[in-house]
Amino acid sequence: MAMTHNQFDDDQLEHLLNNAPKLSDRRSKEEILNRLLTDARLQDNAHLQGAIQQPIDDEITAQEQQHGNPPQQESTETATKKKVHKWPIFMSVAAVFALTVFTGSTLLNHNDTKIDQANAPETSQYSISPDDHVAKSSINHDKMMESNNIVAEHSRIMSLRSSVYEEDLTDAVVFHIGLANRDKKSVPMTYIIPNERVATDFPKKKPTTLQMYEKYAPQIDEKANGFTNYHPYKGELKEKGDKLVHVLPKKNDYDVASADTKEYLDTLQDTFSDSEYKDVEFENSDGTAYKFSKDEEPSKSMTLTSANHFNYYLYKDENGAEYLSPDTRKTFSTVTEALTVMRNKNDDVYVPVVPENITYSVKEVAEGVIVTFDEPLDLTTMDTVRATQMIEAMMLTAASFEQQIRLDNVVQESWEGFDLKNFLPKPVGANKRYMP
Amino acid sequence: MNDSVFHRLYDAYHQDVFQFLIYLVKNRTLAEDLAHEVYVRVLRSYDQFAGNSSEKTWLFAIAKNVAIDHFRKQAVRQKHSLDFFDWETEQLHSTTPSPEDVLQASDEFMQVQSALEHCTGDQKMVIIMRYFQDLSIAETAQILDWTEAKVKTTQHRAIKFLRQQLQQVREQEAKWQ
Repeated sequence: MAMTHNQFDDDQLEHLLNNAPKLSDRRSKEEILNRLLTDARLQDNAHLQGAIQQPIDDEITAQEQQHGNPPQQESTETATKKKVHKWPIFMSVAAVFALTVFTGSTLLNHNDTKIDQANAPETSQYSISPDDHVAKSSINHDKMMESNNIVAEHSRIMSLRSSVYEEDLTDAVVFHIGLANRDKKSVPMTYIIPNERVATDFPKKKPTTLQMYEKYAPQIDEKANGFTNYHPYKGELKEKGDKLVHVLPKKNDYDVASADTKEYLDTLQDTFSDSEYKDVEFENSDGTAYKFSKDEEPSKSMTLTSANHFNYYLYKDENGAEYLSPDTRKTFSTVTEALTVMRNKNDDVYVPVVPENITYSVKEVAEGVIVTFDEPLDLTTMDTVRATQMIEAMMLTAASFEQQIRLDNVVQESWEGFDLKNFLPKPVGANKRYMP
Repeated sequence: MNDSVFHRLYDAYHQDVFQFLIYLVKNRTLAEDLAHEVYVRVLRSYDQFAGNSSEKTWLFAIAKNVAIDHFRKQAVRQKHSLDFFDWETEQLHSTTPSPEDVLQASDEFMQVQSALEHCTGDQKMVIIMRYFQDLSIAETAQILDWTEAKVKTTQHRAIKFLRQQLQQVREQEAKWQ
């Protein structure tokens, strides 16, 4: 092809591409390793232990060499440098262990640190005074705490888990709410609110679920998240003993068609079923029972505490967001049945999270329910998001029956921080969000 | 010498994997986060590494998956109208590079980087692997789990697209001069 003077040809382009600037990681190997050591997902990882074992072995070798040879100025200096270099790794392991098993303050105690060093073999031959060690341990601990915060934040962002677990609630509470989606279905959402914020918002006493709803539901920007502007409910919600009463306006959107009423009742279930209220009553403003247009008789109360047992499927919003949600609100009488049919596609809204080609059996035991895959299941062969959704949907399904679940015949021993060798934790709620 | 998995992989491939990630996401801090995630996945699944591919291509395949997960989450967060994030057809929009990284690049290379942002995800990935990382067609195919023919076709289309983009920039510049 003929080229004009200024034309950009393939050779020029290839030259540019082949001479791309080298961009390198400016962090040290030790820094990278330290960060890995603080990652809870690698707490018992043998390969990571192997990574820190070698430097310690190097030190022992160095010490042995010194025992065999008369101390020389040069070798002592080398060993000292090596010790200074290796100390943060050692401290990190200690700190990870301490943070996991004890409270951080145990490790922070300087006297303890001194005792540990005094008891540690051969450290006195290094030219670092105990005070230096204390200073270094303090600095390193500060770095560790900072690093832990970064890692915790990173793990939170990077985690593929979508449900809320007890471990998410060390300093926080959950707020359940059913948000109305484009398909007129309720999506159970679980918002995490820090204890401190709740204490500030309710300084005098613990709020009721209705008070929580009145405070926090208006703070959720439903529309920005792809949901219908649905909350707070129109009319008046009030408490009557252990009942919740919804005084409905004469004209309301909840009673236009049967799909609207179902959507409304499902959002109520998702918002208040995990609460102190046993029932919800529907009233007119004059106190008489409200009559839904689909019914012939005035409404009776709807039970909130009766356990509705669902299995969980995937709901994909058109904005790309994905949620785990009960499939068409179909209820099951046994957890075995609910788990067994999770591969079936029942309508166009909810997508099964268990691939069709994955088969399994379900067994109920005293501790919970065990799903055993017929063929060894290698989760790495699946899309990582899909694999995590499948596991969490099964956990949520079991939790709907107040059961914990164990997954057998999985190639991996752990996945996304879930210990697959044991029963998995019961999720507190689906679709984790942080209260804005 | 320490022959643990971490030390061995770090010594052999860390800078390559980091460069791959930073060219994909164009943000140093984010590339550091993703590199950490790569190690987490590598260390957690190393025992399942079957040796069907080289450690290098296995490591890059994990890095690629980590990057795709990041872009997928970003797409969801930014509420793109996607039912499912398809990196093979969607563009992988990364953030602007940090100033110190910009200093290293020539104006022309900056134009290449800018044009890369308009490529599809698979084209961007192939260009980075083939040219910036110097990976062979066979290695690239293995990492992406494609045929070598697909790598060649994608590379050809990417080069054609980049050339057209850069040609347009030149023509625009000529008009102003």
